[in-house]
Formats: sequence, C-alpha cells, structure tokens
Amino acid sequence: MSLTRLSLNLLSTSFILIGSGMALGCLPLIYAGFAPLIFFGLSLSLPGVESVEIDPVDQLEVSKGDVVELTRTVTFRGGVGYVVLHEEVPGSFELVEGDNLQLHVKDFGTQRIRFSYKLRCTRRGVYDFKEVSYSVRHALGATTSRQGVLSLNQRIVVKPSLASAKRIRERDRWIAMPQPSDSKMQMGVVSNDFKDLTTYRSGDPYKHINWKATARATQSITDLPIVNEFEREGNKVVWLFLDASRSMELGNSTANVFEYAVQVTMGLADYYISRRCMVGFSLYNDDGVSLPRDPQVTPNQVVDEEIRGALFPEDRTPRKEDSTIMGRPSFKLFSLPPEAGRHQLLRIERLLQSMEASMVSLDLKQTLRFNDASLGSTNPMTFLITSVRHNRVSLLHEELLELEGIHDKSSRGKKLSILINVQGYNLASKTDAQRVAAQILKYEDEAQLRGALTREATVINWDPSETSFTSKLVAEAAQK
Amino acid sequence: MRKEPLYLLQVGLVWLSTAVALASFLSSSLFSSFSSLLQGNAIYDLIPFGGTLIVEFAVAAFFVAVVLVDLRNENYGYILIYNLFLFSPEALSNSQVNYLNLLDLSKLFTPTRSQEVVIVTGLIILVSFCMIEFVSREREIILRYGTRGVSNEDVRRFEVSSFRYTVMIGGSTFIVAITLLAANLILGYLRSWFVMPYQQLVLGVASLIFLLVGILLYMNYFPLSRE
Repeated sequence: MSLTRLSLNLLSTSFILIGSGMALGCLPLIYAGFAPLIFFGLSLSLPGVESVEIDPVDQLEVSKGDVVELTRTVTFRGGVGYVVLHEEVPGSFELVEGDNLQLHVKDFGTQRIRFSYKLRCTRRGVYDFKEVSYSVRHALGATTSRQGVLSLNQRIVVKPSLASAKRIRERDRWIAMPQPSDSKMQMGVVSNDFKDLTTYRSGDPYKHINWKATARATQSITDLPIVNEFEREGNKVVWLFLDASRSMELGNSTANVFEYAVQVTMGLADYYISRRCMVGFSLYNDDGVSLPRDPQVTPNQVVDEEIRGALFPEDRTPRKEDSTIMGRPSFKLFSLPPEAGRHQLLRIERLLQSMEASMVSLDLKQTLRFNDASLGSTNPMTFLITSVRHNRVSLLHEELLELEGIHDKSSRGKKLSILINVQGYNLASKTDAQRVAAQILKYEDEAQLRGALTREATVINWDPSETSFTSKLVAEAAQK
Repeated sequence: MRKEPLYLLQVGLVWLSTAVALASFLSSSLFSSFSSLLQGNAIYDLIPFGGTLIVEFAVAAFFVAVVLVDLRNENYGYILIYNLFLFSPEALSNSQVNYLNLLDLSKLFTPTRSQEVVIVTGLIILVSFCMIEFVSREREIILRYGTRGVSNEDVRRFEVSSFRYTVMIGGSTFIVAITLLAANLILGYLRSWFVMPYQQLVLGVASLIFLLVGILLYMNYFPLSRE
C-alpha cells in the first residue's frame, strides 16, 4: 500500500503549517496544521476492500449471429471502497446490451453482485474469456489502487451459422432450387422416402399423383396435377469449393466476405445433406501457390484429428509449418470427400470452426487435382463460393474450365457449376462516397462476369448488405 | 448550472472558507491600521457613507472576484493560498514570539478576537481545503470513468458515495479538532480552578481514567445479578 499524491500533499501542508506555527509560536497555525493530519488519519481508518472473488462459469456454444448473455457473479469481502471490473471482449463480438466495464460501490460487509452483458457473435471461432481484471480503490483515494485479475477461463465456441433454406415455404420455390439432377446417382431405384411435390411430367406413375395437393393448387382445367416425388436410392453428389484467399477478408471488423461465404457454405451443405445428397467440401486459396505437376509432391490431407484440432486450436494464427516441413514444400489440403448424413455437416462445421482466410495454401487447380479420385467418377454439381474481383475474371474463367473438366462429356453444355459471388464492397464502405464507389465496382464486376462466364457457370451475385442469401438464391432460381 | 452533489459541495466549501478568511482579514489589526491610514487622507472626506465600510466592501469584492475566476477555471489550489493569505494577519497577531517587535511592527499585529475564534477559523479553512482537494480528485475520476464507458447509473452511485465519505471524514475531522480544542480549554479552566500543580493534575487525570476503565471492566465481566 502506498500513498497517493493527494495524501502526500495533505501531509506536506500539515507539516509546513505546524512547522511555521512552531517557529512563530503561533497556536492557531499549529491547530490549523493538525486538520489535514487528522483528515488523512481518518481517511486511512476506512479499511480497503480485502478480497475479490468470482464464481466459475460454464462453457458456451453458440452460432454466429446469436446474441449471448454473459453473467458474472463477483463477491467482495471486507472494507469499503470502489471496485472497477473490466473484461476484455474480442473484437469479433459486438456489445449489444450492458457493459463489460463495471464500477461498483462497496459498502461495509460482504457484498455479492451479479452483472451481465449481451454480446453478438459476429465471427466464427473459439474464444477464450480468460480473466476479469479488477482495480480496488480506497473510499477516498488516500492510498493507491490495487490491481488484480480474476481467473475465469470461459470458452465460447461460435459455430458457423446456416443460410437456412428451411424457411422457404412456397412449394414452387423449393422445386426451383438447383438440384444435382445430372449427378451419377440419379438412376437409382425410387424409394418410399418422400422428397418433394412437383408438377406432373410425362411418364410419371399415376399413383404418385397427390390429389389433395392438386385440388388445392389447381386454378384452371389446364393446370397439371401435382405429384409426389420420392428419393432415389443412392445419393447424388454436390461439391462445395470455398475460396479462403486473403481477398475474402474484405469488410469491416465484425462482418467480412469470408464470414458470409462460410454462412453460404454451411447453408448449402445443410440443404443438400437434408436432401440426402453426398456433399464434398474443399477449401482453396485463389492467391495460393501452384505446385509443379510432380507426383512426389503430395499435400497432407487434413484428418479428423486435425479437424478436431481446428476446433480448439492453441494458436489461431496461420502456421508457417503448414507450407514447409523439413525444407520440402508441404501443403495442407483442407478437403472432405463426399459423404452423406449429418455427420458430414458436422465435419464441415468443425473444419470451418476456426478457419481464417489465408490459412489455405493451394489454389483451385491444385485442389481439383488432389481431389481427382473423388471428383472424377461422380459428375457432381459444383458450387464455387468466392468473391470475384474484376482483375481476376480471366483466372476464374480458367478455373471454371478446369472444373468443367471433371464433368461427364454427356453433361457438357449443361451448367453444372454455380458460382456464388459474395460482394463485399458495401461491407467495407463507411461514407456515402465509398458506398457510391462500391456500387460502381459491384456493377463493373457483374458486367465482367456476365460477359466472361455465361457459358461455364450459373453466376449468382450476392451482396450480403442488401438481402439474405436465401432470398437471393430463391429469386435467382425463380427467374430461371 | 451543474447540479452534481460533489460540485455543489465543492462550491459551498469554497465560499464558506473564503467568507471565513475574509471575515478574519477584515477584523484583523492589520486591516484596521490600513483603513486608519485612509482617515488622514483627503479622499476619505469625499466618501459619503463611512469610509471603512466602503474599503471593507472593496476588499471583499476583490477577493470574491478572484475566487469566481478560480472557480470558473477550476483552480482550487489557489483558493487555499488566498485564504491563508487572508488568515495570516490574524494568525500572526496570536504569535507568542515577538519577532515583529524587532521590526517595530508589533502595533500592526495585535489580537482583535479571541484565540479560540482564530483557531476555529483556521480549522474551517484547512478542513475545507482538504475536502475541496478530495472532491476535485473524485470529480476528475468520475470524468475519466465516464469517458471509459462506465454507465451513468454507476457513475451516479460513485458520486453519491464519494459525497457521503467526504462529508463524513471532513465532518469527523472538524469534530475531532474542535474536541481537542475544547478539551484543552476545559483543562485550562480546571487547572486555574483547582490551583493544583501540573504534575498532580496529570496524575489525577491518569488515575481517573484508570478508575473508569476498572469500573467498565468490572461491569463487563462481573455483571450485577438480578437479585
């Protein structure tokens, strides 16, 4: 415990007055000089807060975009004074309600306080709320404040959110969603599992007509009946390719293109897995390296252990050793071969849990090459989720041609690739002038894409600041 | 106008200590000597309503203006210096060492009020100074908390609590000091009444305290039975 400058001022004033009073033999000055001394002594007689304790808290698991309430219970023992509590909140959380900086007045006796604040989780990841720092101040500031930390160790796992297609209620829109109809597994035997309602097509068995639905939907005599569509045995294949290049970080501190791209990926994976498709997933880096076509150079496949490692990483920064091991080039392939079922969705979710843009080192061509065994035989429907820049359109064109190469010759000309272009210019704009510039850049990119990629892929341009992905996808599909 | 309790307390204390210091200065022999100098001057004859009152008013107005400027600029440290400056003539009048006689200025510093009144004046000035200093610091801290994002409700509670502690400690200081002064006075009266040697008085007081403590201890550990 040391004295503050103010206390020392009081003491020095006191000694000067008493000293001069004694020198001059002046009793009023001596008496007056005792006043600051008594004031200081009485201030010190107010005991300071002895201890601060915090109750343990539970781990939390939430989805991106959720609002989470963090509650803390703190006990102050002994003395009087003021306690300032401060909890560091990672930049990817947005304070919605309450304060992470608390000032509490401590009266005599043990005091137990409970406070909470609400945060919106704006980015995926694993976040550790390790400690709450505190500062205990004397009731009158006679002594210096005591600083300390309270160990908390609360881990908050923010899972990627889904751009859920489950909210789409209209039947026509369901049907209009792109389906992997040209995938290899479409020739399977029709099962008894209901898939969807659709309009009657020539050749459909009469027993599949849903009379109730037809009665409800028919408005004129020319309307076709509605038939039940059933799943076929054997699953169709969908591949999702997510761009994890540094350019995907365009945006602001709480929302960027990569976050929205992850949301789209999870939404699509959920949709197609729930439609009993086999979903494959791969991350690539548009700015990544191109390896020589050397059979000796093979990437390290990310295995389940590493996916689990990605869930609770010690160090969330991209690791240098990912690109070189023992001086030889070594590249991690963040890829999951096609599988059906909810566990595949969980694996994708775990892989994306702590993934940051620029952690991936392979470009799309290399990724396709290393996934050739899984891709070649299935003629999958492919989604390319990226953010197109006007200077990279030619590269994208080459990548899409490469992607077209994995499809069967029979399906050439049919657009089996869907390019989802997540536009982040508006996310990064703050001023009106920047917003105008963002619109211009957006239209420039769209125009270039329309001109260059009309044959290779269906392009869906999505600006997250304007509309939800579900609405955009449905609107695009309905137009088709 | 700012209505925070700490600010109101601070302003109240500033005016209280200034008023007490001014009263001390205006009643000092130095000021009397100064105003009597005017009486021989031709200007004094031109002043219609009693010259001393006008001079008192002018001196008071000057110091009030100085305090107002300091209040506006929040220079609370200077206010103690002004108040001690105003208080010093009366304090020096009670000096037991006759340094001033050497300079032939002893007539300028002669006591006009009783020593107890002068001591109480000094206590009020110094206790006010202590409280003003603490309040200034608390207000700075409140401002800092406000800019750091502490909620208004928390700041308000801090302010009320600071007000309470400052008044409590300031009031206690004054009471303790006055009690010491009163004790000294009572002892002085007792000494003159008993016409007793000082050593006997000290021994007598010590014995009295010992006796009282003994009775209290006895009553505490051997309480009287109900029978």
